[in-house]
Formats: sequence, structure tokens, C-alpha cells
Amino acid sequence: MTRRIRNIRRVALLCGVALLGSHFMLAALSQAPLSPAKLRYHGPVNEYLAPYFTQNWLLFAPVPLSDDQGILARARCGSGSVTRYYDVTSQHIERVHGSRFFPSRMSRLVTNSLQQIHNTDEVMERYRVKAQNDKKPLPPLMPHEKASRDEAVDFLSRYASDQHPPACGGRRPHAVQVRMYVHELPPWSRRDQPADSGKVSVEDFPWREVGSL
Amino acid sequence: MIRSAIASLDRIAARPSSTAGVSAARVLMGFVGFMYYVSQYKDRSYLFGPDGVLPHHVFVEQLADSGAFSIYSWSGSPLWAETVFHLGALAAFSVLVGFGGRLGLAVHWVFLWSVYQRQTALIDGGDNLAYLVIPMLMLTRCYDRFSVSTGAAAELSCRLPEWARSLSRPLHTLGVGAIAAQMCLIYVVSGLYKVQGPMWQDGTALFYILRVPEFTWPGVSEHVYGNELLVYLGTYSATLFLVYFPLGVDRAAHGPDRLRPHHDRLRHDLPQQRDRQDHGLRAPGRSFALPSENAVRALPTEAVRELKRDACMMVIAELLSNFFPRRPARFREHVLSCLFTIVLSVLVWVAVARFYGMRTETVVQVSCVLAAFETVAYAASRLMFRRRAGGEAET
Repeated sequence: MTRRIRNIRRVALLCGVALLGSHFMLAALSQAPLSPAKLRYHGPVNEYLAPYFTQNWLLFAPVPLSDDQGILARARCGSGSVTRYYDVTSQHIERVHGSRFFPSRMSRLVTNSLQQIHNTDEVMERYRVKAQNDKKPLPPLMPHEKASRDEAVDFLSRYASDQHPPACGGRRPHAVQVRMYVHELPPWSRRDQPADSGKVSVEDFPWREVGSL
Repeated sequence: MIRSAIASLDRIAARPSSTAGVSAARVLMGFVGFMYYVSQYKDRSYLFGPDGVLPHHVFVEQLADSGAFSIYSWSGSPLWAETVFHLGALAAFSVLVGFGGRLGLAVHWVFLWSVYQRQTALIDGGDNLAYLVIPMLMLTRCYDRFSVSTGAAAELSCRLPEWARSLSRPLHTLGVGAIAAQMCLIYVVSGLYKVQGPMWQDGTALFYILRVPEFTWPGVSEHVYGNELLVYLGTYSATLFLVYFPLGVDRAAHGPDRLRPHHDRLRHDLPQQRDRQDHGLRAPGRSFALPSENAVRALPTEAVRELKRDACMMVIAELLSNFFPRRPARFREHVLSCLFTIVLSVLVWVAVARFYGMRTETVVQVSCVLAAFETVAYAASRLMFRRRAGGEAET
């Protein structure tokens, strides 16, 4: 191996280590808990990482998903009649249960959209927790939070209107309303109780015109 | 001290370590990518088509907001979406069987990224890892093993200037380091956030997760979350594994040297033996030298034991290298390489056919066609890219 080749290898390795080191430092900062450094550099770091190097490694942490969440929907037909609420989520969950080896991901359309509805940034989350602890009124949704929520509700409404075509005698419904349910499964201390016991809470989203979705 | 730092830099820059590991990672990336296409196949037009759950105009608006690209956005025609989807599946399959080299891996990344962006509601942490790791894998020699090497890359690299070819090994080392750093970041972040969660602290997190209908595996999950000891051990071992993962990587990187303090001495004693190993015995990941009797006598017992261990490793490595040739040069190796591809692709095909409950007759027929096609393609590619005699070009 000639001296020139050895030098080229040395320089390549050092430059590579410097580049990768900087990259992983920024990636690690994006995953760090909220800190003064993160508050100051979050903007430029995010600008560098998004969209091709975005990372999110919370993976069931710190609080894992522990509730059964899903959606129901009802449709307003062209005649003005409103159908009963129909189940949108279960059929795809059953498909997942039927095939655990690389199952279809259709069920994620609902679960990921429900997560998107409650998506927020770390600063607002901390602010809301503090307001709740201090028994002060909660701050309203920020414009970016509202946009993300509207996008998710539109998506779920579109999905719900496609999932139950016979709702209006086979014709496309005029409008659709999505109801989100959260079924809190019995906790560890009451693990002997049947899974269908536990509190259920619902949230109704506004009617959406199917033609405008 | 500076001299020793430079020496270790040279050693790192020249060492093609973990080729089997990165090759296996490439196979895994191909397999997972291919199964993504397979598992969404029935719903592909609804999920990725222009008239599906995310209409083309809404998708294009969202894409413009995120600043990303996707091949699916180039046309609103259903035919285009179908074509891109099927080409993507083909690219994933070629990565799985190791055909197409690093360029094939780059093409796979472009298709995979495009399909992920087409429907972001489907992707999870595993997909996030896939699109981050594939570019890092492109730096490495991830086609050295478990692949169909047609010699095309060796042929092409012969035409590159020497300095460009010499970059192959440092780039490989950087790629391996980047993948290790990425894995450490994932595990440590995930582990440290888990340590802060009350359910993880209580040792009951696994119980809560396994009961959520989407993560339940009927017939299996009940036995796990119904057993208190399993829940407790599962939750704690997951957290401990994640937090201490980097220590395992550190051990793997430095382990052999730390365990074998006499290894370098043996090699340094025998320059002529070191020359021989370049032409003779070759082992995946590292090379082994056989010292003379006098050199062995001068060594302490511990070193002799180390030598015996190396001899065993050498035999195993030689056996393994026959099945996964790095640079196929002999007829037997070509046959083995081709057989490997055929068996792997038929196995994947049978798994897919099983998934859709196809008839046995159809499965056998398609398997035969697949095997015949691959044999012809392999033979044709060998004829096109005949290796230069004695050429040991770095790919």
C-alpha cells in the first residue's frame, strides 16, 4: 500500500467520523428531553433532520398505549336521514388477529390518526400539565395543533365514509360524523376482571361533508 | 502516542470487519421491505392509489408541506401508482437475494421512501429505522455475502482510479460505525424514556401493551400477560437490554483483541505466513495464520490455547465461506451461489403463497418458473461479466 493511498484512507476516515459525529449529535439532541439547549437549537436541528433523518424512538415510552381506542361513525344520506353509528375499527383488528405474520396495516389508519389528533409539542404539553396541576384554565389549541387535528379528522371521516357503503342504501353518504371511543381496560390491580369492564369515554367530531373531503 | 493513534487509524481504515453482519442486515432490509409490499398487496389501490383513502391532490399538498419527495406524486394515474408499487416490490426482492449491488439498494430506498410517504399513517418505528439505515448500508460491503455476485461490481471497480478504490474499506468502516451508532441511539433513547415511565418502573408495562387489541396475538398473549412472573421479567429485561445495549456493541467491537492479547504477536512473528493467507485460507471477517513449531514453543500456555481456538475457527470459517463466497471464482462456487439465490427466493415465494392460501399446484409451477428464470439470468450475467483472471479488485 503506497503512502498516498494510506493518507487518502486516513483523511476519508477522519472526515467521515467528523460528519457522522455531528449528524448523530444533532439526532441525539432531537431525542433528548426538553432542556435549555434543546429550546434554543430545536429549530435549526429540526430543519436539518426533517424530512429524511427524522427520528422518534419513544417506542411505548414513557407511558405505553394501554387503552382500546377506535372509532364509530354515522352517515347523513342524500335524503336527509341519519344512520345509526356503525363500527369502523373492529373488522381490521380482526384481520390482524387472523394473521400475525406481517399482517395488513389497514388498522393503523385509525390508530395513527387518533394519535395525530392528540399530537402536540413538548413545550405545550408541559405547559398544559402545569396548568392542570395548578388548576388553571387549559390553553387553547395552537394553530399547528389545530391544523394537524383537522387533517386527522378529515382523514378519519373519509375513511369512515368508505368503510360502510351500504349505510345509505349503497349510495355515497352526503356527510359523515366520526365518534372516537377510548375504552380503559382494567388495570393490573383488577386484572382478574373481564376485559370488557372498564370506563368508556367518547368524543364526537363535527360533521364533514363527504364531497369536500 | 500520536504514532499509536495513527497506527490504529490505519488498522481501522483497512479492516473490512462485520461483512457477514452487514450482509445479513441487507438481506433483512430486503425481506422486511418486500413483506411490506406483500402485506399491503390486497389493499394497495385503496392505500396508495390516487382515488384511495388519501386522494392524489391531498397527498400532493401534504407532501409539499413536508418538503419530501415521492415518486407516487409524479402522476395522478392509477396505472402509475400500480407500476411504481410493483417496481418497488421487485427492487425489494432484488435487495433480498443480493442482486444489483449498492445501486439496487439505492433504488430500493427511493421506492420504499416513496411508498412510506404515500401513506404515512401506516409507518412505524421499524420503517423509520429502515429508511435511516439503508443509506448507511450503502457505504458498507453488504453484498460480500448472502448474495448473487456476478462480478459486475469487481469488473467496474477495476476501471476506477486506485485512490477511489482505496476508499472502499474506510467507507465500509464508517458505514458499520454509523449503523452501530444509530442502533445505540434508538435503544438508549427508548430505554431511558422507559425508565421514567411508571408502568415500566412497576414491571407491568408488558401486561398493558399485550391487552391492547391491536397488539394482541390471540392464543399467545393471554398466556404471557396472565403470568405475573413473565410480565415482570419481560418488562424489566426489555428495559435493561435497551439501556445497556451500547456496552454490548462496545464489547463486540473490541472483544476479540481484548480476549486474545497474543494474537498480534503470533502474526508479527510470521510475515511469510501472513503473505500466504492472502492467497490461501480466507475466513469471513478476519484472517488467521499458522505459526511454526518454534514460534509456538516460545509462547505461554495461554497463547497456545488461543492458537488452538483460532485453528478451530479457521476450519469453521473455511466451511462457511464455501456456502457464501465473497468473490466467486470457481465453477462450484457459482453453482452454490446460484442455488442459494434460488432456494431463498423459492422460500420467500412459498411464504407469500401460503399467506394468500394459494393452491399447491400453482405454488409448485411458479416455483419452477422462478428457479428456471434465475438460473438463466445468473448464467447470462456470468457470461456478460466474465472476471479478469487473478483480479482481486475491491468492490
